Amino acid sequence: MMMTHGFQQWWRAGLASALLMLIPAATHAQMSDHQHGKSVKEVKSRPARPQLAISAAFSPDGRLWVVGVNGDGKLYVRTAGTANADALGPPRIIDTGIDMIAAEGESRPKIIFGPRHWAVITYTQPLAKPYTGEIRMLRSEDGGVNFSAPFTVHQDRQIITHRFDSAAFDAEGTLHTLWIDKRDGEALKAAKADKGAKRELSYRGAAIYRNESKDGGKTFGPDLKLADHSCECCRIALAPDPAGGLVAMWRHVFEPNERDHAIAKVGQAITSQTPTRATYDRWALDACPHHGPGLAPAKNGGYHAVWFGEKTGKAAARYGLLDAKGQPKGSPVELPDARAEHADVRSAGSNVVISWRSFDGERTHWRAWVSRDAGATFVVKNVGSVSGVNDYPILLSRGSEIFGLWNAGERIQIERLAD
Amino acid sequence: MNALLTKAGAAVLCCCLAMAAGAAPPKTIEPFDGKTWKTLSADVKKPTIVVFSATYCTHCPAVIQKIAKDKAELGGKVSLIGVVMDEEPPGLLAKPPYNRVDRVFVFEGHEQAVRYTINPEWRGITPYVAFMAPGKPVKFFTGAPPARELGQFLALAR
Repeated sequence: MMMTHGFQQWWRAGLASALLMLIPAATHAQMSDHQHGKSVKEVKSRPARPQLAISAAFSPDGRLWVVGVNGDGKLYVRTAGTANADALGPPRIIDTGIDMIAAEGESRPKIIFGPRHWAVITYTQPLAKPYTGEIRMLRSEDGGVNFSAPFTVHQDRQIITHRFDSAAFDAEGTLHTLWIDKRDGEALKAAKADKGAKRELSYRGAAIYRNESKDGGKTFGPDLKLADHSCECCRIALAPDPAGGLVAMWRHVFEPNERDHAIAKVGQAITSQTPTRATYDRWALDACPHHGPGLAPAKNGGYHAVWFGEKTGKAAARYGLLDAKGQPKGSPVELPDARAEHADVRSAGSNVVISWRSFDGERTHWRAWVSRDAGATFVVKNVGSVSGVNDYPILLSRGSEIFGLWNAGERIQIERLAD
Repeated sequence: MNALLTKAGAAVLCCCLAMAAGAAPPKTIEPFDGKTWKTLSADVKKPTIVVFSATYCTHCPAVIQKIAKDKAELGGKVSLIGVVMDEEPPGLLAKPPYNRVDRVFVFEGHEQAVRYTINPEWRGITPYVAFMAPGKPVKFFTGAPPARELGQFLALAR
C-alpha cells in the first residue's frame, strides 16, 4: 500500500511539473515570476497526511479570519463576525494555482491585514529538492474579498532554502516579510567545491533575510540580510516595537553550535557583529529543534519572550523578560508544565497570555498562563484537550482582548483568554 | 564524455561496494505507528541503530550516512533503520541516505502519540538516534551520537 502511495506522489509531482510548463508566461505580472528563472522549478508532491497548521487574524473591522489548507491541499479562509468557532463560515477556497503549501508544524499559511484595505496571505511552497522552498504571497486591495494570484516574494530564485516565512505591517503601513534563507551557506559550499579553495569553509546554519513593500505587496525592495547564522528549521517571531517598527526573534546558532535565540530590530543596518543574544540556555546541538520562539511587547518596556531549549540538561519551554535592546532582564522561568511545547505569547496592556500544548501519553492538553499585571504573576488555565491529532495552539489579539485558537483536528476551538 | 564515463564508473563502483557490504536498499516503506516501537525493541536480534528524521531536518542525512558508512564495514552484523516522522518524501527509497539503510519507516497517525511510545522525553528534535542491542537497555541521543559512543556500540558487533 505504501508503495502505491509513493507511486501516486511521484505521479502528482510529474503532473505538477507538466502543468507548470503549460502555464502561459504572461497570465499575470506576478504569476510570471516562475518564468524568470532559468528552469521551471519542480514543486514538492502533496504530503501524505492532513496538514493541520492554521493561522488567524482579526481584520480592521474586527472580523476573525482563519487561514489553512484543506485535505486536497487547497488554501482556504474562514471568517466570523465574532470570535467564536461556531460563527466561522464555510471555507472559501483561494486559488493558488498548483502551489503546494506547507501547513504543518512551524510552517503555516498566514493572513495579515494592513492599512488601506490591504491584506496578504503568505506561505512557504516546498520544492521537490529537499530543504528548498519559496516564500509565496497573495495580496488583496479590498480587505480580503479578492486575492491576487500567488507570487514569489524574494528576488533570489535559486532552488535553495527560502522557508519559514513571517510577515507583518509596521505602524506606517510598510509590509515586512522575513524568511530563513541559505544563499550564503550555498555560496560558501560552492566556493568549497571550487578546487582553488585552499581552506576549510563552513557556514553555521542559515540566515534571516527580509524585504519591504510600501504598497501592500504590489512591489518589493531588495532582499536584505538581517542576520547570519540562524537555525534552519524554526519559525521567526515578530512583535511591534515602541517606535512603530518591528522586532524579530529567532533561534540562532551562536558559536560554536549553541542554539539559543537572537533578537534584532527589523530594518536595522546589518553589521558583522553578532545580533543581540536574548537567551542563554547554551544548548549545544547539531540538530533541528523545529521549535521557534514567541515574542510580545511588555507594557513597561522591553518584551515578553517564550522559547524551548535545553539548559543544563533539562529540556523545557521557558518564559523570560527582555529589555528594550532584547537582552535578558532577570532569570527566565520554566512554564508550569514539564511537557509544554510550542508556546506562544501575546500581550495587550497589562494582559499577558502564554499558551502551549502538552501531551501526557493519552491526550494533548491546551493550557494557558494568564497574567493581568504585566507578567508579575500568572494563573494557569486548562483550556482544552483532545485525544487525536492537533495543531499548536495560537494566540491573537484585538484591542485589549487576547484570544487563543486551536485546531484540535476535527474542530477548531476559540477561547477569549484575557480582556 | 570522459566526465560522463567517470561518473558512470563511480556509480557502478558505489553499487558494487554497497552490494559487497550487504547493503541492499530497502524495497518498501513500512508504516511506523503506536505499536511499531514496542515490536522493534522486543525483537532485537543484533545491534540495531534507529535514526528518526524529518523532511525539514538538514542535519539528518549526514548522520545516517556516517552510521551507514561505519556499519558497511561490519557487513550485516549491524542493522540500520531510518524513520521519517513528518511525511513521506517522493522517491524516498531511491535517494541517499535512505537507500543505504536496511529498513525505512514513515510515521503513521498521531505524531505526538507515536513519539511518546518511543521515549516520552523525546520532544521531536531530529535526528534522534536509538542504539538497541539484545539484552541491553535502549540508549537515545539527540543529534549525532558521539563518535566514542558509536564506536563502542559498533564494537558489540565485531
